[in-house]
Amino acid sequence: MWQWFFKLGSPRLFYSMTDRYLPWLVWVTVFLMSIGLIWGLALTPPDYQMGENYRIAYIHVPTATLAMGCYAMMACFSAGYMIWNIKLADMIAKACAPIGATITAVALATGSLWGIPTWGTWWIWDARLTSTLIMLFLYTGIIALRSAFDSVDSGARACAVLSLVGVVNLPIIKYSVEWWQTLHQGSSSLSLSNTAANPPEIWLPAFFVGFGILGFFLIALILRTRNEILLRERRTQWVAELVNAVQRREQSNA
Amino acid sequence: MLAHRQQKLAIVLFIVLGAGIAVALTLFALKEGINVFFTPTEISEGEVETGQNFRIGGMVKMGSVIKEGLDGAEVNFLATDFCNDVLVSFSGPLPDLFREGQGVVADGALDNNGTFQATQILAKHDEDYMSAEVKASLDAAEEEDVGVCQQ
Repeated sequence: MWQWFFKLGSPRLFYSMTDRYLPWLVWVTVFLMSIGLIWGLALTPPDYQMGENYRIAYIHVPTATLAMGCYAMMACFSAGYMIWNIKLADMIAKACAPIGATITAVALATGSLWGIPTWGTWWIWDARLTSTLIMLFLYTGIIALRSAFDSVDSGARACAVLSLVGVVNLPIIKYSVEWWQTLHQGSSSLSLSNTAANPPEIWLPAFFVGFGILGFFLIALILRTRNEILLRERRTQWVAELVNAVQRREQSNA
Repeated sequence: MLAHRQQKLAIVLFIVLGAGIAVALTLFALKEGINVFFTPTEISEGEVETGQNFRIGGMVKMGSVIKEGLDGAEVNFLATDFCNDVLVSFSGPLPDLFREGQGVVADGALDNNGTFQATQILAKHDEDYMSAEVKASLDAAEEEDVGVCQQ
């Protein structure tokens, strides 16, 4: 019964599957991103009081959401590695950290840029901003921790533990605006009606950008994981054959 | 599931739950300290002392903004949580979103008269985004949204 589960954990299978589906993912991502960005940044009407500058939310909200989603994903794969000792799960968790750190940095930077014209400050130590900054430190801490180990397995285990400990930060980020007084606004409740606050014309573009950024994240994750697979499996037969095939193709082209 | 896998699963759960409980207890102990501002009601209950530097947060009460001085650079207004009001005095540039009926967070201290002498004014906006047309039709359809004291 568990056989398909362990088969999914095969790095070789992951490599050949992603070979096939990666181009499709790129096209879908380009499609979603272009629609979402053009719609959100240019076409949708300006906000009644913030004017044009609220449009930065079309980058800020999807990146902030994905930054948390990426952390949750990294922690799940870390748990998968710890419980079942699946090497591929650790490779994916390793690939998550630098992408998640970058996305968190983008969310913080766009938030600052939005804060100057609206709040009148680019930073305040409120619960939402501080807990998000802690998430950035967790990501960078996990990257640093792994590079501090010579042994791949020891580094993987240490990072898995730190990733799991950091999960506690996710509900804090999510509910910070409800549990405490913050300068940051709460989460919008989206409306299906066109005559209410947060109508579809406001949030639909954000969904397109959101899924577009998710696609970009998956592309980056897959590419990083593939590199990690080649690096760790470099002494295996199938990687040697792969390298030979590439070399032969290059020679015949030359 | 094999016995040693169950053991690993237990370790994972222990890490997540253990960290969760530790952080929850810390946050519970800090509780009020995490709030980025005091409300007018908390100030009226004497939670802050005169001269102590802190932030006040609330709504700019409708009809309470008075601008004085050159180009209206000195501004006085009432910050309210709909239960209590605190008079805030400030001179300097205001953020674009500062207006009556909007959220405001001010940095400063109470003087001897109980007036909050602000050194910085920040605007707090809500999470409702819409076009001017939608806002106009909403305003036409219902009464002006007046806050109520929630106590």
